[in-house]
Amino acid sequence: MQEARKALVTVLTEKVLLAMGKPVLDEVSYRLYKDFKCYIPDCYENPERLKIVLKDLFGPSHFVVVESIQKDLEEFAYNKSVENFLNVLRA
Amino acid sequence: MQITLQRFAIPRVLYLTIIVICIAVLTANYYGEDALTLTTNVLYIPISVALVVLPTIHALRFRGRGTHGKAWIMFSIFASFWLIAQLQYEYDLIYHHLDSYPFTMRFFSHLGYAFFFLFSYFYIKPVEKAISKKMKVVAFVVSMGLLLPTIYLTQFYNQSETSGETTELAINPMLDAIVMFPAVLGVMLFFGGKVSFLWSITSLAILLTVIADTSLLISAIPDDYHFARNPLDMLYLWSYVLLVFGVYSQMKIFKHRKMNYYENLEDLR
Repeated sequence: MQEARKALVTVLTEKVLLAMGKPVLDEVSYRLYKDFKCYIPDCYENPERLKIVLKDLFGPSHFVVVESIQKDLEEFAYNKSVENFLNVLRA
Repeated sequence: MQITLQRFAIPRVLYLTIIVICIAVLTANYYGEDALTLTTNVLYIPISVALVVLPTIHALRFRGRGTHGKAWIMFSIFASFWLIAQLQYEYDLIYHHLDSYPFTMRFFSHLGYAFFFLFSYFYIKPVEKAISKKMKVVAFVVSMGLLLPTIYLTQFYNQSETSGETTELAINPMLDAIVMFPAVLGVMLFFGGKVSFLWSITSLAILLTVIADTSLLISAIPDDYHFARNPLDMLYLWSYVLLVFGVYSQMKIFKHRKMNYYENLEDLR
């Protein structure tokens, strides 16, 4: 079940970034790997990494990207791990 | 603080390009109108072409998909229209020695602004929720700060000169002021982020174009127009160069990454 939620978070995060364009998703993925040696699915356990990369790229507007991910994930927030993921992104 | 300042650091090549343009134009101006026309024309072509080629390559990377993909298509169209306008002007200036701005030049130049506005719209669209009322007010005040002096100058000069061409010249600074609105929003939205360089430099480019257009408006009227090249073209060239470097900065950020994220599936478990 945990794996399924991780996949869900990954797909929704990628969906939001892909809405901007494939190079945007590629850049975020590249920076995650370069700075933290991790992939987007790993951000499920370490959401602060995704937050840092988005902030570094988009400045103060990164919260809108975070909000879009949050909006899609809201109905799964009953789960503790998803809730934690959202809380860290929101903070 | 240091990191933030480093992000706004202007590349050394940009400084050099601006200085070279300045020296070339001023030296040519010293040698007379023909030298100035030749130098300016020679400088305009590669810069205008670069302004078309770079965003087109960048748009191809996005394959037109996503909001940023659409934004870069719009930028490419905007730059292409400005290049067409520029070529038309130079063709008429060199071969026909026309004493007015050709219709096609004005048409493509004005239409270019619409596509620049669309570029800003598509780029900003994903983060539009971040636009606060305060940001809108600041962007509006900056745009008005550019627009009102232009309207005032047009009115002021129209009292003595009833030339339709005066109004024609005033259109460009007005369009500059309009596109300044999303550019200022871009600066505020992405401030501190890596993508903010494009918006800061674009705002500066628009500001230079407004200064050039307004100066042309002031200098042109008493002398019944100088349609040929003018040292003020240096400001336009700088503005083009700034836009080129803005696009280049985006190409550097979103360069083609050959990443296979899920190469080792075990790593992801």
